[in-house]
Amino acid sequence: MSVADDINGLAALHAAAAHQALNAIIALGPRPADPAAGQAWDRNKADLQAGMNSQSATATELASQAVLAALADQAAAIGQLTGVTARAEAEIKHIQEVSKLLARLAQVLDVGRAVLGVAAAPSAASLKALADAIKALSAAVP
Amino acid sequence: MRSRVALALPLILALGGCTDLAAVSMLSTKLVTASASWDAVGGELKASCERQQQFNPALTSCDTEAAASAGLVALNTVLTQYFTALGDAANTKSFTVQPGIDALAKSAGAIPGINAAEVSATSGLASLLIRLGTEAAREKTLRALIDEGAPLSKQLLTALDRTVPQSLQTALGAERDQMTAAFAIYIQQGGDRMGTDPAAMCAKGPRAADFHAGANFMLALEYCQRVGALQAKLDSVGAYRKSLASAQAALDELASSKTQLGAQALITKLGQIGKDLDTNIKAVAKAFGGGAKP
Repeated sequence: MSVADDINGLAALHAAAAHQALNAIIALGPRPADPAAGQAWDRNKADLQAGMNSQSATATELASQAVLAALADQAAAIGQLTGVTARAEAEIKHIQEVSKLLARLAQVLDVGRAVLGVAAAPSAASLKALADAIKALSAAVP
Repeated sequence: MRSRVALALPLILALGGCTDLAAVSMLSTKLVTASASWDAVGGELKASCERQQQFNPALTSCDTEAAASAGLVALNTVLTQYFTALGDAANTKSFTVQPGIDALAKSAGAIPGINAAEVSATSGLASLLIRLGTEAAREKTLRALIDEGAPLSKQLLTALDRTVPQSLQTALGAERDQMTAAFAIYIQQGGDRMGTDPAAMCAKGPRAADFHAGANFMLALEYCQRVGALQAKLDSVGAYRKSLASAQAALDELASSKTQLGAQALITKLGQIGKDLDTNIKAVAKAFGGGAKP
């Protein structure tokens, strides 16, 4: 039995007590028209309702306390799973980085080829090709 | 050298073929959807407290319930990220450098004086070798995710199953009882009675002839509508538990078949688990909202 189980057990007891109070409220039946009997009915109703409200509030609070206790118990496992996931995503990102680097290398080759083109035949067209290749390379650099 | 490469080529080709992990990928998608629907269930502790405050002045604060709901959503996020990583690792596209190699071969092939055929052959061989490397990296990543992550995920799912349904039933049950008491008192103060079994009255549907005052009949109608929605949530706690069980079963299958993730038997089992998950997630989403559409 964990702490969460114990708390949930206690919450169930309070909920059961609230349910008994509900049954007693229903058993009161219609409020009597007679003034004296009506006042007695009001007092009974108020007592039962106050008790029920308190029991229900405690049960509700404890039900959430049980969840918080269970989460605290699992803090280490949550941290470990976060680490496992982060390492896997880093591995996947690493592969994607390699692909990007290869593409970057291709752009370096494009610049080199454009430089050769300008050296072999300087012209407006070859200079524009060089400028475009450099632009593409610099655009890829973050 | 060339003959060694020629001899090794068929082996490289055989090993370099990517394993079909479509079933793992499909399951990952379903688990991500499932964890989204679990968020709605977790959020119900806070929501139920806030609804109960309408009828219960003793419930002065919902801070604890809000903290519990936030904690459950945070845990679901950790699980969702794990399930997503599982899908990413199973997805071939995550482990390919082919676009980079293609760009490199295209640029190299365009250099004046380069033998285009040599570039093509070299890039093709490089592609195969790199694919071997990336496939090994993918397998290593997937195995680490399954070996280390599956037992942890299962532990967390077990903890959820052990605590959340009971907490939820207590909270929703208290809300239902408080609401029933409030309506019962209004009706009794008006000179009528709700009957000893309000659920039975709602199952048949309230009848005007059973009430002296029309206002009490209207109250009974409103009560039955509200309690019906609440009862649907209580009834769906079972579907929530089943979806947790399906996720646990899926993790068990993955862990026991980690060396044969493309095997037909596993694909069939994961397919069945995926269908079970679908059914239960829809039931959970219908009652609690969020996640998959009902």
